[in-house]
Amino acid sequence: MYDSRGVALHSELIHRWNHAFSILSIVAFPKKRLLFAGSQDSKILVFDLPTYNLIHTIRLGESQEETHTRSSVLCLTGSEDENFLFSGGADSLVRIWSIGEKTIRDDFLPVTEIATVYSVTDIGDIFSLAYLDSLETIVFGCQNASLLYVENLIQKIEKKSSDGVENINKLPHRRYDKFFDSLGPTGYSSNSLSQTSLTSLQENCGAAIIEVPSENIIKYAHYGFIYSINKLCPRFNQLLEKSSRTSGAEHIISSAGDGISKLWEFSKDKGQNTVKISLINDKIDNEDSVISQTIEFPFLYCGLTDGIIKIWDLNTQQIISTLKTKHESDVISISVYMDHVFAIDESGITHFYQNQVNHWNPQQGKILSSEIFSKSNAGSVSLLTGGSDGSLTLWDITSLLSAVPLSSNSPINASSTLQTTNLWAAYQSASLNNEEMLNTLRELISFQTVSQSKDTTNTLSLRRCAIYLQQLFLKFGATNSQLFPLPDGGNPVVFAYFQGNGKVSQVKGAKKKRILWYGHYDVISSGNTFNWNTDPFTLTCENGYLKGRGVSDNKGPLVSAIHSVAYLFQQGELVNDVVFLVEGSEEIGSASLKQVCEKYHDIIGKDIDWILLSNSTWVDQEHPCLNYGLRGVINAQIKVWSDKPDGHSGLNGGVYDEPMVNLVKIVSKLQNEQNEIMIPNFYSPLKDLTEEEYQRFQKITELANIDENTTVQDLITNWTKPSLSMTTVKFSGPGNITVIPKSVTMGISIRLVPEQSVEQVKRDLKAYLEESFKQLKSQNHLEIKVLNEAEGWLGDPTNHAYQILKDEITTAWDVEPLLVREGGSISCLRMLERIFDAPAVQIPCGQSTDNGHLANENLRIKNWSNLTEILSKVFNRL
Amino acid sequence: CRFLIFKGKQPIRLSHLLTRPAHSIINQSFDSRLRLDRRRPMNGDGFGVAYYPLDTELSEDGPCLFKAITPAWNNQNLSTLAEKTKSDLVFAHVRASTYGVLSETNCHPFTYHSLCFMHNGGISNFKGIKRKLLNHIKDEYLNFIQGSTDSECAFALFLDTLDKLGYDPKKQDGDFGNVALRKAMLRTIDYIRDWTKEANKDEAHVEPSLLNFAVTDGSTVVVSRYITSKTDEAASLHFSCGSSFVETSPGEYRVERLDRNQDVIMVASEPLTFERGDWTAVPTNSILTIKKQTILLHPIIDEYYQEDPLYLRSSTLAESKGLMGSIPLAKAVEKNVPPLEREGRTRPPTAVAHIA
Repeated sequence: MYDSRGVALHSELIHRWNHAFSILSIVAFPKKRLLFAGSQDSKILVFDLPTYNLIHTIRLGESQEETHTRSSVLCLTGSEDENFLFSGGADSLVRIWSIGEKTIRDDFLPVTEIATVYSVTDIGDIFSLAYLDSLETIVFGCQNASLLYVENLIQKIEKKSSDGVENINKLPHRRYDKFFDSLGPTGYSSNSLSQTSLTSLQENCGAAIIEVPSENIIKYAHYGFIYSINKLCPRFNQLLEKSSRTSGAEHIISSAGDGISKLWEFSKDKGQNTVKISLINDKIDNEDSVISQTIEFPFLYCGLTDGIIKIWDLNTQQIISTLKTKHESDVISISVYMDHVFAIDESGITHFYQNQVNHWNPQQGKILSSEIFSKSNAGSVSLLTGGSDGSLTLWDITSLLSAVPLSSNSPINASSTLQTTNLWAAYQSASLNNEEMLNTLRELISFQTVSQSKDTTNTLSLRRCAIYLQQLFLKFGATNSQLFPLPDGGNPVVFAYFQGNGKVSQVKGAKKKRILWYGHYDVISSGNTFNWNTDPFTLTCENGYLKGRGVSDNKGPLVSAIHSVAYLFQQGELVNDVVFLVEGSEEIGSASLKQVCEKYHDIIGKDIDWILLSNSTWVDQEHPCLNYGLRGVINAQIKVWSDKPDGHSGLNGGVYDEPMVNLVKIVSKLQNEQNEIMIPNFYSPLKDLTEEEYQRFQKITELANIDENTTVQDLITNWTKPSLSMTTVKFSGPGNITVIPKSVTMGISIRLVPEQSVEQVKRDLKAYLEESFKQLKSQNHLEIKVLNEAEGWLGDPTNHAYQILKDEITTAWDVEPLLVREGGSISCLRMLERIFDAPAVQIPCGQSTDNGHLANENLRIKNWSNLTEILSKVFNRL
Repeated sequence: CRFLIFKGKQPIRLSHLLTRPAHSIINQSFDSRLRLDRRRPMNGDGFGVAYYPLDTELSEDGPCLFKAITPAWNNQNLSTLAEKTKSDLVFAHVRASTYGVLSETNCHPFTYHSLCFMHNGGISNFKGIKRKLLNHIKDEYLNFIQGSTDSECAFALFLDTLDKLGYDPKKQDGDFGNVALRKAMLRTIDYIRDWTKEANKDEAHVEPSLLNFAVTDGSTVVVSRYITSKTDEAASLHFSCGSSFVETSPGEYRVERLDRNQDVIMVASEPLTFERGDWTAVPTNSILTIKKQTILLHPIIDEYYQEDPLYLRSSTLAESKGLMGSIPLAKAVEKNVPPLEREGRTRPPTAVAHIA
């Protein structure tokens, strides 16, 4: 990775500690400024962060002097208040330590072993641990594929120790095993262990010994070793549908050698002092053993065998991205910080960020453990790795993280637990004032939601943005808000519902309406940032304009709609029901939106009265417009190819039919000399322009400040007549002028008018081209592929909604809006109308100079705030 | 009988498994502390080793097989070969005959093209179901049977079952996949369970069948630990996995367990080392799968499955056969650790007395 000057960036080694045995697990207590490292020789090393000193060594088991490796510390975790440390390991025991405050003078750290948790079943190694603070519950995952937990832990410990010293003879200290502790018939005995004196037993009988009860053992929780358990942030609850939320519940994700990641819920049993567990979801199948796992909400990162890392959206259980390390060996450990992924395998540390990969080998044998934490005060971020050679290294990765400018929604100084806070604030009051709206828009713009890109970072941003919107709706008090997953795994559709709470007009016959607002949160790529005057993904306000990718298309208008509805709702004045449908794939053709609308039709509502959207601009810079017509489109590829390889015009010219010649001949028949489109039946459905429309267009040429040379005829042609454009030609071979390409593909874009049926034109186009091709009697092959399509749309500018909008626009702008149509297309509009059986109204927001899809996209703040104003009236008046 | 399975990312010298360790399979054959059947103290009725060669050409169409009817600890050839052979997948078995005569054809493992099979335990009232089993299987598997043991018949039934699931057991490169092998194993167990139940329905007291089966196709290993009883413990089975199997001092081995890599996986009737933490018991009535280098554990859920994780299966059966004969030596192991009162891990009164 390089910085702007081309200087290679790397993480800096801050400190290295050496120990004689492997470091298997690490946990940091940033508040207490302590590091704990579990070792293979049954020790937990405690380091003081500010001084890097080893201040304490906790020894497990009885051998205070002797080194032994029977109780390798495989996992460590702590309570949130950092008062308790939990260890689990090869001895099948969970040990609990209370960690006191370090004395400043002599670095003394009070550490007391307060409890041991065991099971009488042979659970094997304990690989994973999590502590659920609010339920005082420890959960651990074992080698025999079972998941165990103990609730009300602190309570139990206190009770046990208050019971006083139990009878020493009853103390279940010793384990007897019929194999290990026996002498065989040959008299061969297992290697001797030092006999422990009764006195040393007595010294330690203060620690509680807790058995896991039968009902807290989930046998075969997985079908493999449970390598990882991670706690989900408590607000995960909000992502669940309202009906399935349990108050006070905590959630974990467990992953195992069977490749499945499971979501479990822990909640207090009603009326009882026990905690019950339930499996919420087991649909995440990694298809390979999950060796390591981490969560950066809302994403789950699974480290698999062969260097594969799978990233899942916990919200929709869909896979978002797959990364791969170069070395392709097991991902032993994985740490993530602000989308920066640090994967540990045999070869060292691989750092992934925005499709950049950075690898280094810290020379510590094989790295076995890793942890990322930020020092609360210094603002620096550290990566800690423990190796098989017994070394523990601390790296400053702050410069790595800042090498790429971070978007404003992920401030660098936030700690990993804090960074999602902005997503999770409680109730927020909505306001129509620009400052409030700007804050929302600023967040939205900062998500780089480029749907055309396959870049992992963009994919994550799209998901984050969807969740941000969902949370925003909930903060504003939406009656319901959820994400609809796409069947193809694409960016989810955000749905929100505000139930009308205002007084319905007393006018006779007045009835509460249900209005659907359609918008999208994805954007077109910024292109070359050199062409921009400002950072495309940082909202900039200059000279009365908003600047940034998406301000006009479509995040700006979306914020207007959200704020106006939320404001009305919070004031108790929202008369009608309003639903939002905000998709993340508009710029790539809304391919799955139809399926989503059909699948969730009941939730969205059967009785939609109006569909509103604002997804276009005025025809000029001065005149507010209302749009009532869009053209449809068919984008198709025509491919002609030969079975022969690329040829040479000298060697092969004239010998056989050439694909390029075939293609030129057939496409030349698409239009005649007068540029009329020759596809059969193409013009027959067209209706004549009404006098009324002609008048409208005439008015536009007179009033609007458009190119002086634009005539009424130009508008008629562009808005109400179909067209056919030949847009691209691609061919095989090197492009040398003497090479006859084996295959050649032409792209055509046909714009349709609402009277034409997309299906009919598609059929006619195909048949016509195939017939033309047949006449050539060529040996070559023809293929016609429709890449995307949209129906034309024509609204009724005289209906109730248009009248109200006209009124409100006139009030807001003090001038009557122009009724316009457009030559462009919005693929989903007609589909929405049909599914919800409701007329759509398209309300342009910005000016003709908005530069949607281009560099320096902008939106005049006046247009933006007026739209909010207009909408806050319209939502109630419809 | 005793068996041992080794599967490693790296090949291992067979002597590290068979001859050198203090509790190797050779030593196990006369020091089987966990043996259920105490009527005979020795597993001296022959032994067998199957290993898949490292050379891909040689590993085609099944493993190399070495069987002998002399007691394993007395076989000079075994010691020499074990010292000079390496493999990454080894099946080894020592036999104490419960059924069938002493003959090489009765020694495990049994092989059929890429497949290799062994059994520890016995089918209860095998005489009562033998005809039914032989009628059930196709001729080619009937003719495959050379010996006279219940185990070989069980293998023939397994092959037939695999065949009827739509896989060709003759496939030279094996690679049936873990799902198919597990399914065939489960179905084989189902047949034996149902047939013996049928055959024994008029009997007042029936001894359960002990079905610890192991099968591999050269890439995946599937092992069952199963008993047709809801109250009795199955024949012992343990597994161990780690990054390497190392000799710490002559004859003493331990499994190095540094990380999650299961580079070395062993499944054995009795632990191969004296290090308690190295070994975990395979739960009774479950099936262990080694897929690539990963262990999977699936329950076998039928009328003999115990829902309660703490249910203590009785060792009466084992005791009646003299299992608890060895004298334990009490040792304090660690402070603040609980007893494992499962699977006979109770501290006998004598030991308490000793401490007191």
